[in-house]
Amino acid sequence: MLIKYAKKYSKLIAGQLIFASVWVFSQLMIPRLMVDIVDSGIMMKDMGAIVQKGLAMLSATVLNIASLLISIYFLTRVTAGISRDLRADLFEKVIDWSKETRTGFSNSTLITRTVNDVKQVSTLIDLSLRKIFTLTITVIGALVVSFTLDAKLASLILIIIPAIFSLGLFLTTRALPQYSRIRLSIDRINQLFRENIRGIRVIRAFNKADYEVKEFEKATKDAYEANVKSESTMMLLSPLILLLTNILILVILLLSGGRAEGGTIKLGVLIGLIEYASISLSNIQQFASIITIIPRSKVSIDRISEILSTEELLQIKEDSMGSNARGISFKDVDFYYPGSRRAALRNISFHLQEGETKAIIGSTGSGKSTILKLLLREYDAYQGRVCLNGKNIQTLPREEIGRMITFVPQSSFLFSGSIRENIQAGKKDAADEEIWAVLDMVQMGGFFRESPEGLDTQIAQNAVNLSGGQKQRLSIARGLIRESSFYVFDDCFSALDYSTEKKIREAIREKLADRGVLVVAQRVATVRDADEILVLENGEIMDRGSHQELADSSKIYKEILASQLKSQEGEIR
Amino acid sequence: MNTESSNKDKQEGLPGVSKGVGGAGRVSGLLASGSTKDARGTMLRLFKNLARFKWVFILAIILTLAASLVQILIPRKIGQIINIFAGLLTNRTAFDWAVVWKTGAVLLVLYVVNFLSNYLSGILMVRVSQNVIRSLRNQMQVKLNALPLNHFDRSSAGDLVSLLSNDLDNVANTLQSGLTSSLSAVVLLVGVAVMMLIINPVLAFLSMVVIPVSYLMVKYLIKKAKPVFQKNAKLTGVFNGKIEEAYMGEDVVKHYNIGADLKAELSSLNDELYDSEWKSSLVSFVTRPAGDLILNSNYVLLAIWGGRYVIDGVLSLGGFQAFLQYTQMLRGPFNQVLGIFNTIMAALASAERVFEFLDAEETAELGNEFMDAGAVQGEVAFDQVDFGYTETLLFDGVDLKVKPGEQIAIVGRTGAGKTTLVNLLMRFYEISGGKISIDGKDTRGYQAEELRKAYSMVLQDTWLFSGSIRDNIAFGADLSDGEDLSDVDFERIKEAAALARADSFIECLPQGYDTMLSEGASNISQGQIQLLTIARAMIKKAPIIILDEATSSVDTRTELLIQQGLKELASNSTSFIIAHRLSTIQDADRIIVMDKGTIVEVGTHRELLEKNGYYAEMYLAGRA
Repeated sequence: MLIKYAKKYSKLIAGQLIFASVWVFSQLMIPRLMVDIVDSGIMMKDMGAIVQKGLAMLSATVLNIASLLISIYFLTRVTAGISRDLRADLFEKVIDWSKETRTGFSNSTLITRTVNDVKQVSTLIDLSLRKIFTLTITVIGALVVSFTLDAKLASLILIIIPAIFSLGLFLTTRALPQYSRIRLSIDRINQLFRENIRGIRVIRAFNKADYEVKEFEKATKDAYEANVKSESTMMLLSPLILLLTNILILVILLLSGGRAEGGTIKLGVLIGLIEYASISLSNIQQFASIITIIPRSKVSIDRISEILSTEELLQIKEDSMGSNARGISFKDVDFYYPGSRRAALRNISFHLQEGETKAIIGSTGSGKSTILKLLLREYDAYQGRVCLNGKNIQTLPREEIGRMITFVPQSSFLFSGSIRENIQAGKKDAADEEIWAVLDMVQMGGFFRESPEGLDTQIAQNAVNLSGGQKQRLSIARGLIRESSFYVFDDCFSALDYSTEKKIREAIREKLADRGVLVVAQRVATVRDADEILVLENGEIMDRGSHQELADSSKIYKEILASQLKSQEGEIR
Repeated sequence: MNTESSNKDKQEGLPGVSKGVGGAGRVSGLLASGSTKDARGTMLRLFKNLARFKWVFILAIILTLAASLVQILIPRKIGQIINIFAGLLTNRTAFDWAVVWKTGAVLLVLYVVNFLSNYLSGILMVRVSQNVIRSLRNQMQVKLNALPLNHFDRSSAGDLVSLLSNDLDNVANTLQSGLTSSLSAVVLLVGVAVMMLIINPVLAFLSMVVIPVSYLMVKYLIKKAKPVFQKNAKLTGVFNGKIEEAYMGEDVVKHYNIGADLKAELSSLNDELYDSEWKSSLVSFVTRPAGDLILNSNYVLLAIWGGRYVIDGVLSLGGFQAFLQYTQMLRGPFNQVLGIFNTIMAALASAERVFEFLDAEETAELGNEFMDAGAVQGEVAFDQVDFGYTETLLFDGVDLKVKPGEQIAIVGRTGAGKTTLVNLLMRFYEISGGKISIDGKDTRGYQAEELRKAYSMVLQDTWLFSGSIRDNIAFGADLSDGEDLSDVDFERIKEAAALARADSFIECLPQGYDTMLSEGASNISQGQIQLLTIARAMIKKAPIIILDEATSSVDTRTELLIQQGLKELASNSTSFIIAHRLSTIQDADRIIVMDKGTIVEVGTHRELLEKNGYYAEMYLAGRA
């Protein structure tokens, strides 16, 4: 998957790799020049040679830093670029998904994947292009130079490299499972602490502080053990490799002792070899600990590709046959939520014309909102047909549905930004007068006229600075400013007091007199004026009719009515 | 939500591995900032926490010192061997094998000592620091559960969590590696400087003069870089916030056809983020090569200068080689020392915040009576109770008498003091005057924990923990010592769920009672959450029951069914019901009407309507 994304940046990557190679080359040149300084300068007592080689070394140093900077410039462009492309592809995709496609992806995992996993992947790209590449060629380069210096001693280094590598790999892979354990236990610790704060009253009310402490101590013990275990393993790594390096150097020194007696080795070469041996081994060690990050990034890559490879499940079907009928119609609709064995809706049929108001009432979980989700094509019906102006909803593009139906959701989500921007989400470029008009309809006009910033009043993220009722009213206003044939209100009056709700309902009735209105509610007061009320229970329409008819004949409706207007039900008639 | 996102932003890194394009991560030591009011006091306090491991700690320090000293000796010894080579090669002196073997053996011993002391001190420090952190974490959580509730009114949950996750982590990391590595860095710097001076003072001076230069240069660059990092951090925050909104607002985004505009906006933000991201990571990379350039050039200078000294015979070849090795050796600790002071100061600032939390005042518990919940009749009385959340009193001499078994409904507008009444009953807050009694006994005679045995309650603020539905209901049951939630009888759980009308929806879930709730129970609806909190209260059979807007998200029909269940369960219990729907409390024995902290009316539904006062006004407005 990454390769596909890397292609776009192949020039930059090539640049990075070339300059990284230059960097490694110049890095390796420095000890090599030192060899010459010692052998042809110091040993020959030739100051000219020393200065000459020294200047060469200085240029190598400058080249070294320059190439490093250039290669890093390329590298950062690549990693940031690929991160950007990944993020863009992720949000481009997710934003359009229907709820059916979203099943199994919570909001928080979607956010994590777009933000954190992309970050993790960029770390991997950075490591592979920068570290893994340069470490590898450094080791190879160091070996090559060592062989040109002295093949016999260099082969010693060559022999020990696989040993060091497997040692590093062994230790890091042993510590690796502990790292994920650490992460899990730290997450758990934070979660328990957070929940403990949130639930402090409940915990005290039920005297469960001791229980919370016990659970927490389990988690901290786990974190302690995992930390000690992993660190004890990892602590071994660099001292051990240092020890091996040192022993290797000692062996080289001793072996060269005999050679020096025979005059077959030069001093500079010896010093150079020691240097190259240290370089190779420390690089190998870093290499071994870095490649363990790959499995961790793999998880992130998989999580990202899972989203990128998930296609929208609800495709737009061929326009089979449409009639010219107007209105919204449900015909014998059955529906199951993905993975559920219990029908959420059974045999739902109704028709809504423009100029009509219909309402759906029922208990929590009776399936009221589900009907709306099918109407908006968040899910497809399992059986039966949902039609919009005579066309099966499955043949209509989402924009078309959005143009015909205005949906006011149950959760009154507002964006951070000004009131004006929020209302304009309903109608782009809506003029201030229009905005004031809808704010007046939801009884919020006075509130904002009094506030010094007026329409520029800012809403914080998650609208924490507004009450539940205010949020609902703004959400309704945002819906009312739209122009469409049908308006759907999903239990969005629940946080309002009765008198405010009544005023808003009257304003809606007036404004939307010639439109089709579908209201979902729990309150009788909200639905009583509808032309037809559908009483929903366990996903089925049990009764239907006007308020008067239902109040006379429907057992469930009577119960609802009784629970809300207990003592004086006569009065409401 | 806020705590969740701040947690998400937390950088995770595999310990010991570079954090990659982490932006500020690479130079975090230098960027870290923190101010400590009492650095010395905090340090002492931290060491007091170490007291239990005093000897281990001291041993670790000694080992660190040993390792550093040995490391300083090694190049000198190698230099000696090189000198023998040099002698052989230049002056054709005989190769003294005996000396070589001896020096080799000494080297080997030094290597092994270095290895062992490095490794052992590392392991010891891990144990010490992890133990300290574990105990600090546990202390924090115990403290959390001992603090009076008004503490939580003052500080945000996000701040408290960050105390645990960021500040404590900061302390742990500094303790674990910072202390020993700073110690060894200092020892190395000093030791190497001494060795260099011994070998050749002029060269030593030359190599040390660059250190402050390089330090200043790096410091300057980092200062320059700071705004770049800050800009990047800010943009990241803005982008993440936008993404969050785009995903959470799906209903509006999709159905109002604003997806395209939103994508365009995100896209341009994403481009800006790209720009700041690569710049900030480039900048964070640059600081090190810049320092390296100076150090490397200096190395070259030393090679030339030193070479001349060798030719002139001022310096031995072995000394030359050792000197160059020392120069290289300076590099690591040098880079470390650059950041260490800031790191330690930041850790101390963190530690101070943690200690401040641990020192927060707790409520004094005076009573020592035991509560026998089974024997409680349920008579509750408020007698001239005074209370205020701040200096100003909300309750000024509140009187209320409730008979055993009475069902009391409390109504009033937001802020009238309904929940305050409950808070005081549960002793979530301490009253400042008067007294509250149960069965005639002053409740201050009991410790809060004893007192709460008499109550079962459902709070307005619904809270479930992440875990199974089964455990969440069992949470309400009293546990004896050593008992776990899983020891609570399943029959009892099911019975409580049935009374709360939660059983049927639970059984419809694919995993039934074993369904795991996510944090914040976001996988079930608000109404269902309330049913579970009611079930949790029903499993605890207490003589006094409190329902604080327990059914606000439940439809009215189900609410009535639940109230019936409550009557079956607790016909003898005294109950307090706060409701915002007047329709559901009309059967209460007495209705208490509150306004601005005072009880303005008391009576049955009928009496209050006939009185045509505040209640009647509220009732008619509600029904209009």
